[in-house]
Amino acid sequence: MNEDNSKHVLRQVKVRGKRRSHEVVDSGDRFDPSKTAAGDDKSQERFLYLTALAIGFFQVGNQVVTQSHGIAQRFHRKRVLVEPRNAVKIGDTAHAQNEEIELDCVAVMIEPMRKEDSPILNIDLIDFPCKKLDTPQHLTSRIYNRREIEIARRYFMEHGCEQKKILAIDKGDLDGRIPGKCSLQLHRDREARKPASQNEHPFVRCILHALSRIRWMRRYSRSKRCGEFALPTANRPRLQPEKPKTYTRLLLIRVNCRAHMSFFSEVELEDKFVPFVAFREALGFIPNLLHAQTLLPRVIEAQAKLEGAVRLQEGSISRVQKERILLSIAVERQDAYCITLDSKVLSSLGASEGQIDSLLSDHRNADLSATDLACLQFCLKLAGHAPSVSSEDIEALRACGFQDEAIFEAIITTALAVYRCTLSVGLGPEPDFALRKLPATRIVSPREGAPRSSLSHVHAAAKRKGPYVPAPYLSPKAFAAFGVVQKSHGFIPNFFRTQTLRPDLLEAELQAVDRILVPEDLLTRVQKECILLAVSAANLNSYCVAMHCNLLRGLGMPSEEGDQIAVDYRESNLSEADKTLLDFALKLGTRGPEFSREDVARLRACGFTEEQLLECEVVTALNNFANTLQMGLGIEPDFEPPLVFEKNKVFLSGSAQTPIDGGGAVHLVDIADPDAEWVAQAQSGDLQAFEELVRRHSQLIYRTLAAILGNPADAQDAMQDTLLSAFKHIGGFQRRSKFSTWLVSIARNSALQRLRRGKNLESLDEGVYDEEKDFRPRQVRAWQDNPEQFYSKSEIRQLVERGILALPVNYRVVVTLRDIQQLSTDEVAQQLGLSVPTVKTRLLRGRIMLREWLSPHFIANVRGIAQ
Amino acid sequence: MITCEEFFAEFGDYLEDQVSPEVRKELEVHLSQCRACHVLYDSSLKTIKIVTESSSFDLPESVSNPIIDRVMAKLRADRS
Repeated sequence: MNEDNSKHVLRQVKVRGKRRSHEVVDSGDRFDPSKTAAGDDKSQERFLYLTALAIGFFQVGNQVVTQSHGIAQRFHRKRVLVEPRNAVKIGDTAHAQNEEIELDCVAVMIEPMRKEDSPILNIDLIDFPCKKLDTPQHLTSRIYNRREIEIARRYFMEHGCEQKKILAIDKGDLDGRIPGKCSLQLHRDREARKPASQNEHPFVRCILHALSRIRWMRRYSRSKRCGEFALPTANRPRLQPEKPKTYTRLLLIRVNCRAHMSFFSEVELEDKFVPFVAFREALGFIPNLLHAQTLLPRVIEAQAKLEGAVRLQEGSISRVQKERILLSIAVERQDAYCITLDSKVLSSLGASEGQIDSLLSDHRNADLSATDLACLQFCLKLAGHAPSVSSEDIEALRACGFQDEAIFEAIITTALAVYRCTLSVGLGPEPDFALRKLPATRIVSPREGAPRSSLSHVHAAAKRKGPYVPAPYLSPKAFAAFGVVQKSHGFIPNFFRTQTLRPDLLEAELQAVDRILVPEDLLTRVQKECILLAVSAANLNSYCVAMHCNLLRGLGMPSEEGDQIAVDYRESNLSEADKTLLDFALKLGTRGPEFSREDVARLRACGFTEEQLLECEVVTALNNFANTLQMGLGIEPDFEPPLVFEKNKVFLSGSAQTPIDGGGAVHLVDIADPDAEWVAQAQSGDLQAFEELVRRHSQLIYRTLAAILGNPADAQDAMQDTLLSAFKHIGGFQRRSKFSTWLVSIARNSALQRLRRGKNLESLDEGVYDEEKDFRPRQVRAWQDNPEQFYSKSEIRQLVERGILALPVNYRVVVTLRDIQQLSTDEVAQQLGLSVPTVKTRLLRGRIMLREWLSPHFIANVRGIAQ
Repeated sequence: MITCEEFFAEFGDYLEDQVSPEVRKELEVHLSQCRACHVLYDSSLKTIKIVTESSSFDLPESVSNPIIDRVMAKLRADRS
């Protein structure tokens, strides 16, 4: 090994369990025993394959070690030793004036953990040079209990107390006693040759030394100096007093030590990765829930934004109250990971173990004040069965003295708890601390075991209009984040408008949404919207169902298809792969306890990448967050939810046999359609029934044709083609929409074909004309009070027709169907296959353009006949 | 008071009576003080009323019946 070559370092060492599927450390500069030292760069090798070892990282003394200031201060002068399960930050910057200290011995011990032990040792940095290393010599003279291990042709010695034994690092020689996996990740060392100023991103140089765990434990656990460093206490082997003679310093390197990795691969992110820094500062460590998402740093950013704003700050409710909410919901969901983490955090905020135990067993006996108890019970209701929450629950909180902001914070904290629990189930992170078990005497609250949904509750809640908390007006100009929403959604949904009571929380939420939903590098936006739609439907959230149906329509999906996904995506026209993805999301989002590592493996076998599945899980978690928030705040819908969804809620609610769980399919049939009977007869070949239908809808067909073609005479010609085409295809009409909607789609296609034949390449699709961002009404003079009184009815009609025909086709069609045919905005969107926001935009612009066209005839002091 | 630009951003929903009470209040304060926006609002309302009541693109039965009759005759002829 060239000790002056900074490449010859173990930048990343992974110790993995025997059942680990991939054994090759997949990156970095490592040593290859089969190569010469000079050829060792960039090699990959099968590295340690052991499970029951403590791994010691030694820097052996008698050498000058360039240390950054922090290390020197903490470890040399103050002799601070690392405590188990505590993160210790060591300075991570090189200093111009390097302080030189002499370390007799620097060691790191990492012990593989049993599954129930979950210490994580986060020490940020060790940096020391390898220069003048003469490790075997030092080790020989200083270290007892020696074994010899070969790594990259180096021999590191360990002196055995009773016998000498030579071990090569190979899975055959190192017996694994503790199942599971460990991952040791070392960063940064310092290259002694370089000045400190160039050592900004040094990598660790270290010498790996492997010792048996038991021997190490004997040493350290009995060492006065090292006692604080002892790792897990559970199941520690019986130890013999034995005082080490040579270890004068212990220095722990950043170590992620896990016996049980999460469901997804993890990659190393920089220590300075902002969310990590934030969590380290706030909690003292980085939760494994975040480590489990390192494949997608942007989703970690999203979670950090949410947690930073919602959880980690004092607000109208205290941090302790928030942590109580998080913990109680984790308990309710029996989420071991979150219970463990949240108990620890609550403890760090001053809660006694007794109080925490009470919360774990029965929050009603946790000696909480009446207001805190009311708040907690509301949050549990919201998290457990959001559709049953109503304005009465909010009023009850107000009666307890809660202000609107406090209520809002409680609701969003609940949503965050649901988000975290969903992620925890989906990611399977190793607990950050020794697993906290629920007390054996835990009282099961009455809600548990109850049916998942009850429609009577849903309907009772739905009767009361929201929103439940005030939402002050916030203009897009003053609140820039709304501009982003406008861009991504085409409008600002009530979902966001209703949260303006706390712009800081809203902004964090929007940033999270932006990082999760907007990128399309893994899952497409359509796939994400399908996930959101299917899981929202399973959660009986009409608001979100309507929203995502509309967004899907805006992305080009036919409205019937979106409706079908809402009621039973298995019967939709999605690809099998996408249906499997929705199975996965739905299981995670609604049946967490059934979710397991095998579900991830199954989807991987279907061709989805780990990153895609991770994104799917985060989207699902975000959906549950949004569903909870919407129900808690009583956010009013922007659009009408699909009728068929509302009608089929009984099947989706769990109070009847559900199509999803029970295997029965739900089709979009039996929609409330006044034409249904005639349609059925016409489909069986009854010409009279067909004639009845076309007479009913002739006006609608004609107006659609006239609006698209821009010429009443052409519209009359096209009408015949439309009717013939309708009869030809009526057998294929699946009754997934109203007959009138289907008929308009036939008319629309006939008209567009006619235009194309005339080389008039008009399009009604989304996006056309909608990008005119600087559309502004022109100033016009005031109109007369009753302008139409100066014109005859036929003159008015003539004026309006001319004005409408002067509009661009996209605006013309929308204005005609909305204002002349007087369909609702939702119906226009359905019939034209457009999203509601697009229809609204076109309608407003069309109306204003028409107003400007008509103005000369109706402004004050003008009298006359239409020219 | 909100600006004219902010007023216009909400204008479409306001015309459709689909704004929250808080937003409505802001818009109405603006309308009471901004003549240009008031003219826009007033003339837009009148436009909608005129268009809605105009019976434009009405297809009289005298026109539609012959078309439908021709289509039905053709369908019956095809069937026979």
